[in-house]
Amino acid sequence: MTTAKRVLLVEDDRFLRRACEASLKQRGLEVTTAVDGEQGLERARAERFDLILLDMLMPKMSGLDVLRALRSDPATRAVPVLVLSNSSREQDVREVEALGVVGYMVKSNMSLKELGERIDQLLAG
Amino acid sequence: MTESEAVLLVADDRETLAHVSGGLGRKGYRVVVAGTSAEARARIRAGGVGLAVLDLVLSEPETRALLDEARALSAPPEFIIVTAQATLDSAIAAVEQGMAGYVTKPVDLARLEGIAARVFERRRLQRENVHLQREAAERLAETETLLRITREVNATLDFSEALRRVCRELARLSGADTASAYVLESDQLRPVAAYHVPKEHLQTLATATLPLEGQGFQAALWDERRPVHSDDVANDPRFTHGLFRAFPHQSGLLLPLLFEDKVVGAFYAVWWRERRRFAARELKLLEGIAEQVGLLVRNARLFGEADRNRQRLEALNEVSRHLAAVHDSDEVVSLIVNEACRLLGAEAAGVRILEGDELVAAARTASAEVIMARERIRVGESLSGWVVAHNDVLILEDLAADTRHDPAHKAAAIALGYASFVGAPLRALGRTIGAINVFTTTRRRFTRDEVALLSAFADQAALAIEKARLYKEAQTQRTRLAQIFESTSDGIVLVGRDGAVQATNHRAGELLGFDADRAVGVAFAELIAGDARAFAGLRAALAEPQRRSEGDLDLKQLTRIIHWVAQPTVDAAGVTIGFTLTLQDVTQERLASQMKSDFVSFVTHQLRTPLSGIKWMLELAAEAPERVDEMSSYVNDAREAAERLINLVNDLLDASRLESGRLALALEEVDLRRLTREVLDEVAPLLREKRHDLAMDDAAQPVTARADAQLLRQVVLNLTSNAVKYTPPGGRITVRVGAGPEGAEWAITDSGIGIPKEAQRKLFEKFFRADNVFAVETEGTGLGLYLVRLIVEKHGGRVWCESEEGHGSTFAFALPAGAADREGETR
Repeated sequence: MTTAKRVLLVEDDRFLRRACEASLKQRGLEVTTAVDGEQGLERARAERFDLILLDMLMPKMSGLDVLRALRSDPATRAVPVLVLSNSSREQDVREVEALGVVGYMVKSNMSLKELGERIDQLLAG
Repeated sequence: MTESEAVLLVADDRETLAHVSGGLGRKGYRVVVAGTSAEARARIRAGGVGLAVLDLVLSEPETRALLDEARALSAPPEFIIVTAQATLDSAIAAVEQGMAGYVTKPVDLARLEGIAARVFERRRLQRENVHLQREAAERLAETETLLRITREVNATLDFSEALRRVCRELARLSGADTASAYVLESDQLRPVAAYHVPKEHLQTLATATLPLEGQGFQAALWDERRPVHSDDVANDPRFTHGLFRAFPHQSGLLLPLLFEDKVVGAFYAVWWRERRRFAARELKLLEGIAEQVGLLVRNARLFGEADRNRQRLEALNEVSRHLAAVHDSDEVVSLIVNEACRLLGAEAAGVRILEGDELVAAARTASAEVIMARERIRVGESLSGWVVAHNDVLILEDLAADTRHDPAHKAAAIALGYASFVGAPLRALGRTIGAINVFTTTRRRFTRDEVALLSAFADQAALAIEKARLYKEAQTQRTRLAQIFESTSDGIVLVGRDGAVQATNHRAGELLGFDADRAVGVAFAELIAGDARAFAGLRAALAEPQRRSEGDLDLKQLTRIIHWVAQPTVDAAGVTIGFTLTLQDVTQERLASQMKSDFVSFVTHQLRTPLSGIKWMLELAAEAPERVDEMSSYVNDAREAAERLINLVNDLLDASRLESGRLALALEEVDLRRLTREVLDEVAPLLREKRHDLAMDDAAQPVTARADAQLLRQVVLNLTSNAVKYTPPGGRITVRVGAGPEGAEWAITDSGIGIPKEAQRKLFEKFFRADNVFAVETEGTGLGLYLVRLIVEKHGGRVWCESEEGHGSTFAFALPAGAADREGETR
């Protein structure tokens, strides 16, 4: 029996957070949530995850700052990060990609199903 | 042919006498006879004998005596011997004695005549020879005299000294006691030099001019150009002039000096006591000398003229130099009138400049102020007016006598004693720009050279005036350009091909951060050396001046954004000589556009978030229709998300309307306390949930404000719910409503975590940068406080926040009592 993959979801909007968590759990993933960037970093450092889903625009600490922190911390550097944003600004995409992420997806442009498939892909490979 | 000399026949033989004298007489010779040797000697001694025919037997001593007698004469006669025997000895003897020949008796007349003819021919040639030699000697003497005179004359450059020497030579040559020389000048024969003048007559001879008219020698001197002489001056009707009586003298010789057949001067030689007569040849010699001297006089005059011209040209040159050094218009014309006086030796001068169709007095010497009293005259009027109208020089040698011009205009000049006038047009670059007037107090005939000088001077003066005018125009233009250059709000820098700054205005220095006053000549790359990254694009432009390029400079340290445009600077020939950099401060524009783009980005995000919320919730609901509770909760969430979305859209619309002024305020008297209580009731459930302790302080009097009730409610609700939401559970919230200095005041204080100072500034702003996380509201629309501010400010009030990190916050607003919409109550 394979261990379920562990996913950390960092998202401040409660609706999106709830929907995403429910959908991923239905797919058999183990989901941990964080309501903001600080909490997200804490959790990322405390436990081992197979994938981090990161929102960009959050209060107190922006997703970009979280990403920088994850990338520079040897404890968390290896964990793949999938950015879920609602901004499709080129500048934002570039900044993020420069830091090294496995993907950049715009939430309003996709369904939960598509998101789930993508995550499965990433976790399989 | 008659022979002046006679033939002497010496014979005592009657037959011979008759024969020979008859024969010779028939041939035309004059024959005289002598019978004895003594007679012969006497006859020879008496002279006039050219040939002696000797038919007398004489002893040797007698013969010798005869011969000696003959030889003693200046033109000794020749001898022919008549002899009986024709022996060789006698022939030899004859030759040895120098006889012309001998004949034997009976006398062969033909032969005798032949010898006689030869003898006389010989004697004639000799006489001619002597005559020629004498003439040659005389010629030589004359030539030597002329040569000497010429040498004397050429040995000195001083004209009068030269003439004095000639007087001396003439006096020596002619034997005169005194001689004086005169030169023709302005119809007068003026004394120039004299030689050996007795003291008592010095004054007279040195100063008195020779009279030209009414003298008996008039015709001879002027018309026939012949010398006139007299050996009895006192009684000579030709020399009646007082001058000749002033220094009584016996003889006089007046010699005209000619050049090209015209009288240019004269010599007068004086013999005080001697009665001197002149041979024709002497006069001729003297005339020859006089001609030479005439040439000298002419040359000297030419030289004198040339010298005066040279001096004038030098003067003109100097004036030009002065004019060239001056740029100021007033100085130029002032210089012109003074120099004009100096050049022509005049007393007054003035310049008029053309302005439209009037001639304005531009400068006058002090002496000309009254003459040219009228400031403005019309073209054609007065003397200057005539000069300009006709574009020609005007000369009035006698102002008073002139009838061609209006006397009124000359009255002032004449009254002040000015006698002559000359005026010239001032011409520059093909136009007549005015006139220069010159007045003299003495009557003068202005020579052609003087007029030419004035014209040349006038042309230069005109050019100088034009130049001064152009200079002033150029200055004005330059000043204007400099003003424009400095007053523009754009920075401008002109950079040459060599990369150095050629010109810059102060604005450029402000914008780029360099000292504009010290920038000229500095390499532009040096001036922008500071922020290498920021100036990268501009540097690239430096490398390619011939291309137009532009870009933005984000100068962090100066906190401004400069938009620059580099255009190639091209000269008249089309060659790129550098580039012109224009700089504009576009900080506000860029910030504004950045803000707009940020806002769009923000709004997009804020809209998308609830939308994706709704979408996902509904997706989940659709997947589990059979799990009804789950589904309803998903649908519920979707509905809530939709609410949030609707609120956001409403806020956006409100904000838009408030910003554009399209929202009309429905003003009424609003009881703030009652409003607050209503809002508190609304948030009561939330309060309970968060277990906050909320208190509203009670004031005695009602507090009203003239406001739009709905909008005010929005404000109060927003601030209250913020306080409730952002205070950790169990917190303390206080609301105060009262009247204050600014009107009705409302404040809510919470015990939350407080807000850092940097964040406080941005609280009431419209949108937020992505990295300013404190302002990102997860639950709200993000525009709440911004709307609060808009609404309060639209009512003429003020909203603010006081907070200290860790010690809670107070949000408050004040509305002027009975406030009206500053922009008008209705729209």
